[in-house]
Amino acid sequence: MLPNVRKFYRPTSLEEAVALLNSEKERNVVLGGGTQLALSAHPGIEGLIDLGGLGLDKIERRGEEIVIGARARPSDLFRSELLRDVADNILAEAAGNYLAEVQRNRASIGGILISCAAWADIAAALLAIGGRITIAGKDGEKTMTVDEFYEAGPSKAAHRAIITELRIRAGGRGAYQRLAKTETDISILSSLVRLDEETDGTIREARVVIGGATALPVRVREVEEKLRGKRLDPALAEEASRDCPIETVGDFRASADYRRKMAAVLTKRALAALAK
Amino acid sequence: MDQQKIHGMDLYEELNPKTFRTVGHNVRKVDGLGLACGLPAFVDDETFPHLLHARLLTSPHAHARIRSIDTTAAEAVEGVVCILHAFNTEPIRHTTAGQGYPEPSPYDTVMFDTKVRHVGDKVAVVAAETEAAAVEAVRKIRVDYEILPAVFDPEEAISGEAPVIHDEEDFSGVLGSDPKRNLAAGIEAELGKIDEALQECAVVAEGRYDLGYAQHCPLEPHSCISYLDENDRLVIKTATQVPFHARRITAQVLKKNIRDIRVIKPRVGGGFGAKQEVILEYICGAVTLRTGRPCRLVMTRTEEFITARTRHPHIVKISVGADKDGMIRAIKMDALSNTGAYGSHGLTVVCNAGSKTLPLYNKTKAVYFRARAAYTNLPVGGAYRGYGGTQGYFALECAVDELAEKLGMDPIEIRKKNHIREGEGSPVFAVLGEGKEGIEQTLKSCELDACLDRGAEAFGWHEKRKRPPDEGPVKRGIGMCALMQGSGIPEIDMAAATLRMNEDGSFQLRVGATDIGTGSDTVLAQIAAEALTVPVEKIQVVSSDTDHTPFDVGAYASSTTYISGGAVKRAAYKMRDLVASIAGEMLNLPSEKIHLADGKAVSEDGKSLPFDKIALRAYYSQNQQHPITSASFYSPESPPPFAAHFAEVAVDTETGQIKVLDYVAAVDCGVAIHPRLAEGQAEGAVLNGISYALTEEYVFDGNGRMVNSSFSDYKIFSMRDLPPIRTILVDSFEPSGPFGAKSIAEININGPIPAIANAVYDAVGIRLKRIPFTPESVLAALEERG
Amino acid sequence: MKVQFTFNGSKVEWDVHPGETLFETIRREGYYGTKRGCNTGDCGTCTVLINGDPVNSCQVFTASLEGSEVRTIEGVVYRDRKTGEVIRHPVQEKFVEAGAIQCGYCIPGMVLSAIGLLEKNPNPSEEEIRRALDGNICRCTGYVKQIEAVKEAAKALASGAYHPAPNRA
Repeated sequence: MLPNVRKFYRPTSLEEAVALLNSEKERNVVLGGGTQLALSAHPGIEGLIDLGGLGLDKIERRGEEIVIGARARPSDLFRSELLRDVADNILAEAAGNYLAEVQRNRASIGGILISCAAWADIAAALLAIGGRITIAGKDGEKTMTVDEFYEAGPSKAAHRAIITELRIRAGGRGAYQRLAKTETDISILSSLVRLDEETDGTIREARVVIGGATALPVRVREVEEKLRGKRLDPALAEEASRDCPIETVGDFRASADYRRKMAAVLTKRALAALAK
Repeated sequence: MDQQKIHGMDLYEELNPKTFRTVGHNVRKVDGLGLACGLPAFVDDETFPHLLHARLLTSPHAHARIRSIDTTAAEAVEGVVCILHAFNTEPIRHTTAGQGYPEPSPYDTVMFDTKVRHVGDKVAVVAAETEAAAVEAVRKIRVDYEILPAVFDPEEAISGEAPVIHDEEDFSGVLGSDPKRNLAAGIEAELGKIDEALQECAVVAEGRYDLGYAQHCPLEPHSCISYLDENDRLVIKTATQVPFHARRITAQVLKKNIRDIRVIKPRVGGGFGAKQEVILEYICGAVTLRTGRPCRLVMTRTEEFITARTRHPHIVKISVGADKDGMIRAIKMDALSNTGAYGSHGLTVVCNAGSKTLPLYNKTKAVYFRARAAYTNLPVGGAYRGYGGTQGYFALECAVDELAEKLGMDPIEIRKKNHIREGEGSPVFAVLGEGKEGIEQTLKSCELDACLDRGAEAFGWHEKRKRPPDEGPVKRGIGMCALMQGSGIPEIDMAAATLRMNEDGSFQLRVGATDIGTGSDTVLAQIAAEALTVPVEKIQVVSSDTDHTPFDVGAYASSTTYISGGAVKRAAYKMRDLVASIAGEMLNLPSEKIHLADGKAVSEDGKSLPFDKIALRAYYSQNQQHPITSASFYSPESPPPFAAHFAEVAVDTETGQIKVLDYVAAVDCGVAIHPRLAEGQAEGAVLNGISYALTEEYVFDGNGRMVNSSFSDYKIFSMRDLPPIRTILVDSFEPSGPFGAKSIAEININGPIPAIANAVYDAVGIRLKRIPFTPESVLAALEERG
Repeated sequence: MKVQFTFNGSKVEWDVHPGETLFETIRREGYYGTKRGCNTGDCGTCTVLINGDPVNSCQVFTASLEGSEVRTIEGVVYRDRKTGEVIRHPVQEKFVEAGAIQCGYCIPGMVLSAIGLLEKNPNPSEEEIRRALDGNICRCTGYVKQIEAVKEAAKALASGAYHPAPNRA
């Protein structure tokens, strides 16, 4: 219950939605799936801008890219046939581990990104897959890479703006390793890898991402460097992941030290799976 | 004994379960369809005119004295009607433990105290026209706290150097209470000479086992609605396991006559011990008495974790010795429980760490048990399924596993060699009861051997033991344990039942027994139906309303099927006699020549009268009467159910993660009145035990504040986490139980911790002695070993 | 503000606060089959079906449901208006038969999740059942009988014995 909400807007155009979001008169916020907002009792929110009428919920193929509307739900991603062509389906698998079905059916991918639900493996999977995020603000639309989005920080990158879609490149191979106390819990740590290889197996681009180590998922450039230009075999998988130098934090789920160790273990396993 | 023979019913009755028509059959659960259809059934599924919504203010500090409370700003919130706190309520020292009278728990609690003793302790209640107003007003209460030093470690708490948590003058203790040393309770017993006996043993296994906090997590939070009826009596509809104790304790705290309070228990959304506690009833009732208005008070999930009750954390130190033939000759157990800020169930839980475990191996020369419950400034312990047994069995069954290893014996064999058997007793029964001396008893049923054999066979124990070690980082292992519990508290727990014959020849069964989801309404209806030779549809159950049903201690101590079932069976046997005598009048035959079969009274010469004819005659025709019978039951014994549990695990030696691959629970619960519900009791208890073993924990910051007090952060297992669990109900017959039944509610929560710990040892050779076995803690143990 | 949607088979127009959740709305309207267990979206006792998908009603703004189809547990059982006969969903029947119900607090939500699953996927694997019901937490049963009940309900539905009423109460 948001006690002080007085207006509920159902804009029919993106421009209208952006204008409402930039209103100087009232404090409006964007309503995607609403799963996090509905649990809040924030007294400062005066209006809700429902994106439900903007047709942002599709997942479709456009050329070499898969385009995911920002209101697509984790359950849509999990069931999507199109995503199977992207890095061995790791985005869909990560979406399938987003909390529980009754939330996967309502949350939105845009909401997960913007609300900093970076603990979700989906957020790490997106960084591993790479891609571009389209954001509509009062100066029009802009796109940025997922890397740029996380570098700037979600709230800065999409300040008073609306994430409309994600565009990701089809193809590539991928692996996803996760460690969690229970299946529907937030992961203690996850490791996700995307490899794009030449026809002879030489790695053209490697994206190795750790989720859950800090507030935002991070790429492990050192590991990626060791992989680039080489062909992955079990020895390289072992060698490249031996050292996984990332910053980690501790909380009640696990200590920083444990997370650091697990980053190496899970990355080794992800690479080993791809080396087979 | 005057109980020996009542109305054709021997206290110990030998029956052939194969002849049972209703007992032992999976009848439809009497409340099942209504629940499946979501009909309004629970406390909060009803509203009242002029209902007030109440919310609690709880303490942010672990230990503080309240200098003053300023409610000015809170009262100014629109819609606020009533605020109660330490300075406008009377401090009646009591215990919240819903136990029999006098409760074996210290009187160390008042409704709102001038001292708070843990984060989450009750400070005040606000009742308002809307819940939002109550929440806002709670935020606006200003409390002036004088913060006191706090103590969080139970060993430190009783060291004599720690801050005193209960310094109140009106403290009233129980066995072993010494509040100046933060001792809530304690007991010590020695049979034989323990040190000598241990020295004589060829092998000894020793260890310290640590179990932490856990929450019951019933899906329905504590919920309560109170109002005044047309005679100005206080009516409290509440989610409780103990309606009659709730009435008595509420009367005590509110200084009312017991007769002026009515407690109604509607359907209850799970309890597991959490609702054996009287926390909300008198607060809600106090608001209603002050305002004259109905009041609703429902705990938030966070309050469930920190303000309601928990499992008592324990440190259990154990030494178990055996001779070279594997006979267990000496057991020494020292249990220190952390009862938190109040001593609710403090004595009895820690006592049961010994009394529910030590009799299992009864061929000892000496047994020593010391139990102490320490106050700390942490959340309050309470009753939780297993009730000390969970804590004691972790230590005992891991130590026995270690003994078997040292002796080169199969873990099953050492148990078979040592466990108590039918026709045997244990000196421990007499020495240790629940918070006092116990009751001697000789077992009349024990199928633990069959549990061990059938469980091992289903599990593939012997085949799996021969398996070569696994290659790679993930290692599999197997482990097992043996268990016993009790069926009610002997010579304390009492239940009563009333049967009324309806005009159509069906029956209404009135019981104080408290179905909290366990299925006891169904099970008790089956017992009545079996005795009265009618299908269960002919038994309409009315349960747990202090105005309308007879007394019952409530749903705890694995008592309902055995104790309440005993009362129902007795009342039904009386009804049999009554029906036979009315039929005898109708047929001009002495009632001894009439028996009941298939819903009819049948004479020796083949005449029969259906029950509806008998009822109509009794109601309307001749020698009119309403056929009503009542009976009470208490038991001089507490026949233990037995179980053997088997676990297979996979330990990931790189991450420390344990996965349960297979789990078998073979259980002797006597005759299972409703086998499916009995299996459900076992499966639910096992899964709860597994998640307690592997993941569930309270994490506190340095100030005693729980940092994971929500279902987002304290995860209980979902359907995706369920490992294969197989339950085997082993044929057994307990002559003292109703139609051969014993209990099944608690026993199976005690197995997963030792079975998994023993399996982990088999897999990777480390003995885990502290739960939960989280990935990080297991990895640390693996690394420590090197 | 006014919101129009289909509720348990009937068109409704309800006056709601723009910041209120569906959970708050339906309880206020007297539908108590939807329960509250956690306040954080983590227990599933408040599950309803929105356009056929099980969702926590505590995580949905009612105002966002304009034009949607909402079903609560009360919309699953119905009474035949001519005969008065109560028609229950096979999932409900099978939950009772399987012994899948203990306290029953989680059951309405779980029944709705199972119905949501079976309407889309009439023949689910056990893995699919576990995934579809993973947000409906139960502390009593250990889930064994509930998985069995959903499998049995799938069989019962496949036999064609159940026809949802066109005109629900």
